[in-house]
Amino acid sequence: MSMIINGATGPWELVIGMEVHAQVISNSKLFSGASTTFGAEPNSQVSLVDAAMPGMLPVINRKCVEQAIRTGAALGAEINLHSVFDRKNYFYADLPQGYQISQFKQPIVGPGRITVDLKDGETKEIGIERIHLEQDAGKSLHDQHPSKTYVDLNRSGVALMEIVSDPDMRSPEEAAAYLRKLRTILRYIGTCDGNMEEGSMRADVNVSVRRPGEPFGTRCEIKNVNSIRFVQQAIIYESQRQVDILEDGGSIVQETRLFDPGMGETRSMRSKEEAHDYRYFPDPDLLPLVIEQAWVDEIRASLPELPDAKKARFMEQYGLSAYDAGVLVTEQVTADYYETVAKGSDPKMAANWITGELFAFLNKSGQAIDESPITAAKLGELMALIKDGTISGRIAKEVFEAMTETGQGAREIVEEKGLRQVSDTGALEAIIDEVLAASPQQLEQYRAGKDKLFGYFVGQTMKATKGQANPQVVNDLLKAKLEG
Amino acid sequence: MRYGLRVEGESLADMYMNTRAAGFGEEVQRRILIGTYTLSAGYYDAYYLKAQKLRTLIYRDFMAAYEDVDVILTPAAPTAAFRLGETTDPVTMYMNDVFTVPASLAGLPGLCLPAGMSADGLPLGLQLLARPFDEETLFRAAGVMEDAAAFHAAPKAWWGDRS
Repeated sequence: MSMIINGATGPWELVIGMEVHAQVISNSKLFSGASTTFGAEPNSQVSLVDAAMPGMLPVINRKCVEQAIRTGAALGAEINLHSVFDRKNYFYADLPQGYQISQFKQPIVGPGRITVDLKDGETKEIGIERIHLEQDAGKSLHDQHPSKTYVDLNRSGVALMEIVSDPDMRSPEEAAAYLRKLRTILRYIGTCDGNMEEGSMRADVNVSVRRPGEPFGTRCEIKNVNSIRFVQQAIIYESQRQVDILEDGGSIVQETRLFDPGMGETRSMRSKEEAHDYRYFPDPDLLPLVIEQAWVDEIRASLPELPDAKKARFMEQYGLSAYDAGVLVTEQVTADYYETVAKGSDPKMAANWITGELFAFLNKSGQAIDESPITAAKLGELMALIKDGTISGRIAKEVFEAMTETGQGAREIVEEKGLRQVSDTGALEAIIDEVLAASPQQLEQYRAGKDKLFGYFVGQTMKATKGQANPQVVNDLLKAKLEG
Repeated sequence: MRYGLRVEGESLADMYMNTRAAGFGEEVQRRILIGTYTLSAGYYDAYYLKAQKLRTLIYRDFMAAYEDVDVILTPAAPTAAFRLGETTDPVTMYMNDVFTVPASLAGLPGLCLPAGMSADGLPLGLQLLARPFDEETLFRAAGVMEDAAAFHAAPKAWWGDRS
């Protein structure tokens, strides 16, 4: 599903690679005991190590290492039992050490892959080149004072995983699908909350264009894009910009660019000449990180069922379409919710209700599925009432609405409002007889071959029963009576 | 800048540059520059990576030697100490470290002990190098040598006595 830009001189193919910075879920920082809680008072979670006081020494956080291994394992990647931390030197006010502790030549996680879900149930494999562990920097606050910049070091030293993809994506949609899938997996395994708005997941996007089949062109890197929508917009703008330059006979200058969401464009941040020279070298304060294969195996064995496996199982076990299964497994809580509902009712019906009524309601109320007043157990009760014929699907929507308003149980509402479906053939037969008697003209026409009038009789019967008649029973009875 | 020297400047970057220019001596500046150069993206592979490989070769060379011997004895330096300010050529000074640097590169324990006097009456040292983590052998060998050399010379002048 390549996106091709047709220029005046011929077609151009997009080539996209991504570096995702994912903040590791851990109680304390990568090399210090300071807390990582988001939203604390500025500079209240800063240890002497994070502030780079002279003589302070970093100590690796085992939990962060475990999270990186866990992530690598979930992406089917090689785990390097021997990895090395390097100093990446650059100068900035929110980096007190003057260098970021990162991994350069020997990262903890080697090649892996992600299967991304595209439109119409199609999938594509995107290669993961590597994942390495590194420290986050502090935050510069430019809007607190008219002429000064404030620095908040709470984030300084928090563990990040930099997840580097291969240049395997060929369209903005594939890039978005990659980010969505990566986020889903990280949330499943609990190594990153994937919250792009809060900055706990950020993407650097590498974009280049080329003639189809030819070698890669020169790329530009778009830094720190913080939503999936912006990633797509940035790619569209940037690729068109590059095509315009190339078509005019120019050449692309390798550089770092910034995306401006307000203007919807990318702008040069620094050229190759101004590029940072990080002067990597192994951090002499840290020994190489050596881990045991047994620990890796243990972590691998503790992984939950991952989205792809769950999706396949939902299709197999519950007979769901690839699309529905894909939607339901996006979030683990949704998948769990679904399974609770599906167990006591028709699985396909449960899927339809969750992706339809429930999602629409949650969208409107702005609630997450685990905050829903309609719990999985309550929706399950409603589904059971449909399944056993107590109410029809149409009445169920009415009951659902009442449930969202009152928080009452489905059975309670049905009893209270007298919505129980009439399936009693005797009672329905009497009503149908009345309906037929009241419409002699239509009856005559129907018997003369106007089959379509069947629906008219159904409608009249439902009306007479205030919608509470079991539609299937009405159909059967009507058919018998009209034929007879 | 909370600790040490601070030389003001027009901007933050100026202040840093002024401070470092004033606070670091020539040799320190030279080493920072050489280090920065060899670690720079353009020369990383040519110098830094190559040097890392070379370091491995040096280590292997030592380990091969330790198959036959337990410690290696060298002079601590090729000459006795030169007078303050007498030699300013950096290469000459680097050459003076030639016997002690290999142990640092290979990650070996080394020990220097006083051994005798030069014709000018300046102290000369000997160096012992042992296998990685074999400090025990190193100290034992050095102890034996120290006793045998019976080196008891003390400097004629001490800075403390000049006041």
